[in-house]
Amino acid sequence: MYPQDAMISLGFTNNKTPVGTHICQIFSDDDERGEALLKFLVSGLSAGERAACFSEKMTAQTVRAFFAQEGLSYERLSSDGAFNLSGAHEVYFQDNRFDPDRMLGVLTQYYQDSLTMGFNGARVIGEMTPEVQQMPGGERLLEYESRVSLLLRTHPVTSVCQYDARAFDGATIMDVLKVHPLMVVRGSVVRNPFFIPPEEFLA
Amino acid sequence: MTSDILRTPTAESLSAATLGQIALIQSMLFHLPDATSIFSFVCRGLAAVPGTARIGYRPPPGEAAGEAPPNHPPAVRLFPIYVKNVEYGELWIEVADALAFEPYAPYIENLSFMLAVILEERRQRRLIQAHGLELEQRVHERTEQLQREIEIRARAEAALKSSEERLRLAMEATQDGLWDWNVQTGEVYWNPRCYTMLGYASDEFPMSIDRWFELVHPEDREDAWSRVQRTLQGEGGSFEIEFRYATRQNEWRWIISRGKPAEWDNQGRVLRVVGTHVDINERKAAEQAIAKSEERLRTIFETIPDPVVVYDGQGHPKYLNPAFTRIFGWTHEALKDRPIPFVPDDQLELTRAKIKEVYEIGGPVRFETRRLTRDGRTLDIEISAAAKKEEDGSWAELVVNLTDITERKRLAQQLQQSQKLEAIGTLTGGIAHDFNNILSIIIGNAEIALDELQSWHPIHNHLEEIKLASLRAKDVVRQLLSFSRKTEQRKKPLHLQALLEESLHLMRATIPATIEIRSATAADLKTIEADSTQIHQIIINLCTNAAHAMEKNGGVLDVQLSNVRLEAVTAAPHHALPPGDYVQLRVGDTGCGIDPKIKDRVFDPYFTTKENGKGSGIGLSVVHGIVRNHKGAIIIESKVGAGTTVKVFFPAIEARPVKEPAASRQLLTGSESILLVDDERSLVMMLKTLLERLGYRVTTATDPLEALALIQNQPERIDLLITDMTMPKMTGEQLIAEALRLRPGLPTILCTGFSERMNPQRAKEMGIHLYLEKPFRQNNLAEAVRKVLDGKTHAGTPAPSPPPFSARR
Repeated sequence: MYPQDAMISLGFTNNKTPVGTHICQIFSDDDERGEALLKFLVSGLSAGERAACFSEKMTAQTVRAFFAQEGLSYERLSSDGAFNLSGAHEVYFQDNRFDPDRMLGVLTQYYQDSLTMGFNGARVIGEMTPEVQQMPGGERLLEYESRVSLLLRTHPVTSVCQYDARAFDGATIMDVLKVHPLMVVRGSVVRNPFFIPPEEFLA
Repeated sequence: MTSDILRTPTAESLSAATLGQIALIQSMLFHLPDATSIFSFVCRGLAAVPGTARIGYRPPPGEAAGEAPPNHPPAVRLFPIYVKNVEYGELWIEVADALAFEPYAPYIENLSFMLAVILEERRQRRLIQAHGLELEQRVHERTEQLQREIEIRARAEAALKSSEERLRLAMEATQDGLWDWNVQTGEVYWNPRCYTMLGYASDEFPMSIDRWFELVHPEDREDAWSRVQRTLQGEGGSFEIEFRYATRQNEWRWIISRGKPAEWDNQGRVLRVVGTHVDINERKAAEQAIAKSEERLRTIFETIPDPVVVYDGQGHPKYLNPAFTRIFGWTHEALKDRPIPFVPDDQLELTRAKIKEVYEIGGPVRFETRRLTRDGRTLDIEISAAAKKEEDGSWAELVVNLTDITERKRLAQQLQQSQKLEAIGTLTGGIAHDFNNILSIIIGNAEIALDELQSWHPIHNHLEEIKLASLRAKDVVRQLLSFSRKTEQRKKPLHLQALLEESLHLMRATIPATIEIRSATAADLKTIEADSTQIHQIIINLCTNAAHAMEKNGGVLDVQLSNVRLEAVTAAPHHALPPGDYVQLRVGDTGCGIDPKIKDRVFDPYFTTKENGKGSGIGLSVVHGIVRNHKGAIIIESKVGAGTTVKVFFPAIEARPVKEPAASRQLLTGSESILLVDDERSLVMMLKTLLERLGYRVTTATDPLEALALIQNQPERIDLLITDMTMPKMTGEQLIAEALRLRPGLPTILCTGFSERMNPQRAKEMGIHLYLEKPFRQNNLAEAVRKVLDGKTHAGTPAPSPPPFSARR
């Protein structure tokens, strides 16, 4: 188990970040996104963390190949429960609705299970899909993201939220930025000047 | 509020966070895909700048309207977005707190510029991309086009190669030559085959157009060069010329040269001509042979005497030879490709059947038929036809040879007639001797009996009938012998008028009174050379036939004698009589006429339509024979129900007629001693009675040897020897010869029923004073005996020929 102030590697950037950080990655290039995703997972798994990926675009075959290059066994990690690859829709929109509370519960449970299972930590990377804007509960997306920042203070699951700038309009992207304390800019993790603390945002 | 505006912003008053936000906005712009997304992102982000009340974006004029800025300029800051004079609209910010806002305005201006740069860069990129895409598309299209062209060219090259290969193989196979003429330089390329075709080595001399002139036959040069020139001048495209080349062996060889322009200059002048040479020497030789053969054939057609017609595949005449025109009168021009209208209706079916047969077997097919001349004459024709096929099996032409056999057929019929008559004559001759002996006995005995009886005696008429019937039988035999030319003709210049009158006088007694006899004789009637007995026979026969035709209903028997002059044309129908003067005997009746079906048979011997006893059927045959012997002709014109006219033509002569001696009406008698010899006992007895009744002393013998013994024993007691011709042991000739040897100068009469061996010349040579044809009547015998005993005859004199029985009726 990492200590509270442990700095961990995200894999896709050289600088280390505190464990349980909530990071936003705005991307417009699939390769950039995929590379960041895989490196993030491998970095965590390599560090003895438990890792989960919620994505519609990433396939097991791609992940398996990338893991193999890094000396990891997709099958073993999956069977050990160290790695989980799930579809974003399956995770975020259970019962065809977006339920921030349920999602926060999932994160909470995931973190607790990871501890129980003996992992050093837990990390999640998920790609929010634009259909969330049409889903029941979709209007609570920023609330959810803001509450995630609150949750991570007690359940430090290092989380990376990927948003496709080509799929969301510019205003939404700007709003999303406001609920993520850190963001990836040109390959670096920086503090987000637009970040509004959850206490203020949710107030 | 006013104090806020007047406050001068300072660097200290700038928030690092705000500047970070502006910088972050700037950094994030590249992720956003389009202007809309960018400006919504920017506007949302800049809303965090202190002093900002509202913010919006207005696109440049001409684009979709954005949100317009509030209409109170002092509170609104505009941030145009442009670069290099390219405008992308503007950001407007309604400033609520100028003092708070102004320190960030330069950063926002900078952001605006960055926006312009990004948008321009993207526009440029899009343009470049578009150009790139277009270029790529063009490259792609061009590449595809080039690939297609390459493929086409490759295929064309392959095809050309294949074609050239095929051409080469074809050239090798066909042994054709190739040539290539550079018109400008006059150089000509000949491939090896061009040389070897003419017997030269393949590189024996360099070819040129000048050399070409030298090699071409002088007679062919002008025409060949003219054709080439026309092609060079753009007429006709390609050319095909046949001419002769000089070979290495100093012979001429026929070549067909085919050429075609292959290259032109800008003015369209031909620079290059390519072509082939094909050796057609054998073909030319064959053509010349065919032409010669056709010429020979044409010459044959033109000169042969038989008409020839060549019909085309559709049955139209396409050639008529001169003989056809000469005989039938038709010319090709007159027909104008119409069918020749020369097939009589009754020959159409036969002709169609034969044409069908020709096409079935190809020919030749021969058959006899008739054809009409243009002037309406009917000719007997023998046709020989054969059909010629085209290579595709269709019928090309029908060659028909028409031989005019009209004359041949007439001669054949005459020959057939003559052969019939010959056969009849032979038969008749064979029986005539015996028959005449029998008749002599009957006639002689009848006359003896009639002399013994008074005319009132009931038997007298019966005896008279026996005599008449016997004389009629004698006449039949005579006619038979006559028409088969077994009797000796005694022709002499004769005037027919007297003979006609005598004949008609006799006819009047024998034909019914319902028949009127009319006669007419031309005043200047010419003389003919004829046997009066035979002419008498003609008249009697024709008049008898005419009378029979009118027997039922009566009518007019019209007999005329006239002079006729036959010219070349008018003589032709008369069995080809030569032109000249003729005496025409015309016998006409108003009787039943002759059925056209039997008209051709009336001259046949034994053909008769008469009931039994009315005619023998040889009458007209005899007439025909006699007329022919007199170099005359006979024509029968008849119409059923309207009567018949028979015209007989005798050649006229200039000589004067010889008058016939008048027949003696009184029986001549005598008392001399006569030795009578005949193997027929009845005949001997009958003649002995006749002679004794005339006062003569008669010794008889039925055996010539016995008779010879009597002469030998008492030669002086015999004044006259009368002997039959045909006897056993010794003929009458031999007996007379022996008798004359025993007693030279002994008067002799030879009686003969019929003997081809005896004639006046022979009789004279044998010293026979007179020969008498049996059967003879009493007065003939009396006259002959008296004439010989009185020394009025010299050896070889025949007894006067008695007239036919009817003359004595």
